[in-house]
Amino acid sequence: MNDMRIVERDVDTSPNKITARGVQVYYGATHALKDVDVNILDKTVTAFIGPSGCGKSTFLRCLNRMNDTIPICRVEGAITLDSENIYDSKVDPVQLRAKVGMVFQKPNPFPKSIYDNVAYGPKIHGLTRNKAELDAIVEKSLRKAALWNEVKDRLSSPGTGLSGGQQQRLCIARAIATSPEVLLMDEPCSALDPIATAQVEELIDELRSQFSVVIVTHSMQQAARVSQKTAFFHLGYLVEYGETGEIFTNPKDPRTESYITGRIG
Amino acid sequence: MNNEKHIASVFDRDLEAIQAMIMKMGGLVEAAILESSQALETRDEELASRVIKNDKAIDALEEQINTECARVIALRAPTAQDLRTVLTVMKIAASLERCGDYAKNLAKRSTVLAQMAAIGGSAGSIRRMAKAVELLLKDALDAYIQRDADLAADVRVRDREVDQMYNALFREFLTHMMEDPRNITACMHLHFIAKNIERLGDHATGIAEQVIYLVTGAMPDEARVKGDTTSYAMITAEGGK
Amino acid sequence: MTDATSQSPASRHTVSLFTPDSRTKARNAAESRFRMYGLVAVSIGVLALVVLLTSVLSNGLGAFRQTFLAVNVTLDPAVLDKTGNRDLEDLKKVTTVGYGKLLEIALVAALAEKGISTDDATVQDVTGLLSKEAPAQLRNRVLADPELVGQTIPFKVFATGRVDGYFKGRVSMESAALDSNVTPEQLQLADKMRAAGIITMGFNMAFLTGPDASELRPEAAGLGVAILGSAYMMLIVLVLSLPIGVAASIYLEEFAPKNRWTDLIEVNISNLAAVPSIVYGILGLAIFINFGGLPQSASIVGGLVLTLMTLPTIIISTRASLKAVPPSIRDAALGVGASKMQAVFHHVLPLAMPGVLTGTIIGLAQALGETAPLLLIGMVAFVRDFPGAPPEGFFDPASALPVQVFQWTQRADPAFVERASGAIIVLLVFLMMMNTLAIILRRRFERRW
Repeated sequence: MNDMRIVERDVDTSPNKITARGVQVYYGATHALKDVDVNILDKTVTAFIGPSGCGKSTFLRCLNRMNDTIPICRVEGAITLDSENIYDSKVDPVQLRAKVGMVFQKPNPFPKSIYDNVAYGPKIHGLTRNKAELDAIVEKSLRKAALWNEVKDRLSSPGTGLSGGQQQRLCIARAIATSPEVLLMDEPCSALDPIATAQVEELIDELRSQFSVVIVTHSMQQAARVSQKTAFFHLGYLVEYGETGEIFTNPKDPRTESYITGRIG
Repeated sequence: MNNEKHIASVFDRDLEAIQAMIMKMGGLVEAAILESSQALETRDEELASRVIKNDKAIDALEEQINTECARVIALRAPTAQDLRTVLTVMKIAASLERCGDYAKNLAKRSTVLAQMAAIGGSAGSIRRMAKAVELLLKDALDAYIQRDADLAADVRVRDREVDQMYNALFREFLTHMMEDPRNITACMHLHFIAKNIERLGDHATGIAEQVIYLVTGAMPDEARVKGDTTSYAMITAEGGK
Repeated sequence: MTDATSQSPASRHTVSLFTPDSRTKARNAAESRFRMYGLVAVSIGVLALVVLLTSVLSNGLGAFRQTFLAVNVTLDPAVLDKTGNRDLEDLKKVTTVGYGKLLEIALVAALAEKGISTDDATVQDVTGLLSKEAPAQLRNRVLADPELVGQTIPFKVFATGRVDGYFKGRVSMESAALDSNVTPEQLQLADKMRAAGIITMGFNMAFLTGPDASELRPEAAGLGVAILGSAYMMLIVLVLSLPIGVAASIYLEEFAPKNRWTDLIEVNISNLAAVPSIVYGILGLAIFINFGGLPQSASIVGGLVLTLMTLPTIIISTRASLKAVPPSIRDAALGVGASKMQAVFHHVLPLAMPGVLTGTIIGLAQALGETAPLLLIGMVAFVRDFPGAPPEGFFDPASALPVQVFQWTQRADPAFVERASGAIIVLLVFLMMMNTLAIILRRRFERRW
């Protein structure tokens, strides 16, 4: 009987990659995120959903300490990556961001060539010893991002000359070039048309076998399509966190049900 | 027919999975019908009890199909052909589950009948009816696999013959029961068996109609040909009309 | 009951689109009036520009042409090189007096050769046609190439300023009669010599390369020292203000904490850009010359003063360019794991380059034309010697183009008016070149993101 279950992509979901305990985030006097406790599994796509201003992007940016660049933002609580607290004073955010890559909402390739875009990360982190290794990394990243065949003849043309979907895939290639362990994506498809969105979602599904992916999205349908675990944020609280199929067919918390069925915004 | 793959391959995998499940269920039900009619003919009690036990698997499969279809609708938001595929799978699963129940009932009654004398001629008619219905179900499922709307329309038409056979059997049983009251027990069981087989044919027709809905996007226009007139049949002691 | 004063709703909607209503007409009229005002303003501006250019060009173009006398000079070794060694040190001992005599001989010979009679003119008249600078010209030529001694060489020397003015229309026979520096006979002689081809008018390279000359010799006055001085100062300004300005701007924009002190600094920098340039001159005098002990009138002092003046401009334009870089680029760089320094220097600064370069060149162009601060640090001196090669040359006294213009306009001789206008033309040419360079650089570095 069990052999006829819908077959998921064959992947070994390991234990927790990132854990958050009692995370509070303040923007000046505003208490933006309250008491967030969550475990993010390895080799899994975790989606953060919720209405605008609920704190999901804020929490995402805590995971790679991008909130450090905002002077009035204060983060309390413990967030660990592989059991190491990333807010420890010994941790250099620059080093953290090589392990935790980020893709942003609006595709923002550097105004350099496609090759230089992807090669920048490995170069500054000293991951390669010579040009041949760098070429190999660039090709591998572009292949993983399903962009190689489209750009292999024009690696020196500017990254900004690609279409929207291609630019976002270039940004993904750039983010995975440093071989991160976790990939954070902040509404990566919101600036793309449906076909490009579907291509990026298929890409995320493929990347899942190598990284842990955390994706913030304001489209519930996208969360349903692409993730295995979903966390629902509302007014700064993490309301519910569970397996995606369960959340979308039978959520436990009434607030989750209201949001998913489109009764609250 | 759109044979291109979805950009998100997981969607294709989901659809293939639920269709594989329905195919498996169809196979189980076809086997159940074959075995139960065989058990009836050869009075094989062991075969009959196997059919009764295997019905659990059919019921569990229907439940599983429903859960997975709900999941596909929630997570994938299918539209157009994909939506009709999922809805059709759910409805066919329901029909097949009922068919499985009828086959189980057939097997149950055959154990009783095995201990009684045969009623003249009825065994042959019932065997013919069962064969016709097995063919209907097979064709309906084939029409689903091949997305063949013409074959499905044909199934709808052929159900009429099954109905006619049932009409004849009904009158025959009435006659036998009026002739000799000792025949009543056997005839009643046989009658219910014939009724089950006729309902099987109706469900096969229902499956065929779902296939037409899947392929064309609309249920068939003409009403189903209802050949079953036993609701109005009457036989008096002087001789039937 | 319909109220007589109320407008029924139906009538408002039945006005045709083809009939213009009064508001539209008034609006359109106002717009065409505004356009006309703009056109008129632009035309006035263009007209003013045309008038300015015409006056400058008409006054100044003449400075590039000069009257020359072409003679064959016999370099008599008996006069020039008594020892016969062609030794430079010995040759230098012969002053311009000796050379002057040789020129006079050559001139008389030339006249005789062409058959021009000099009966009406005295000997002083004839020799007076030569510029007083002419012997120096010949001396420089010989000292540059001692082997020439003993040969007869064709040589062009300047004609005297009044003759030059005569051929350019400043001096006439009537004014010559009243003038103590020239007589009408000289002018007539000059005409004859011109006809014979001894006197020619040609392009005067010495205007651009030669040093300044005294009041009495306008024909020999040149911009060489001024151009070199300005070039040195521009170099100092570029080398100092660009790195300091860009670095200060980057620090203030990206790294400085946003508190009251930083705000105070920003406000003060904006105010500094508006401080009158003469104040910078006083500052330079007090700090660099009095306190620092640097030599007066040196290019280094001028360069430092102009750097102080240009820094606010560069800082402000750099900050504006840095602000214009979208934050998504910084985020992208930080997200890949770049440190703040890497993000700024690898990504933000290259994108801000067009704005920075434009600001720099505008600042430089402004500095090129500044006169007031340079006057205060003593560049009004009359400088004849070219400053040496850098870096020692920065400490030699020099002049600057705008200062030279100022000085020449102070002099009495009307020939200097022409010279001053010529210098203005040179200044304008430099400014145009720098602005064109700014445009080219901006276009080349402009990127789309």
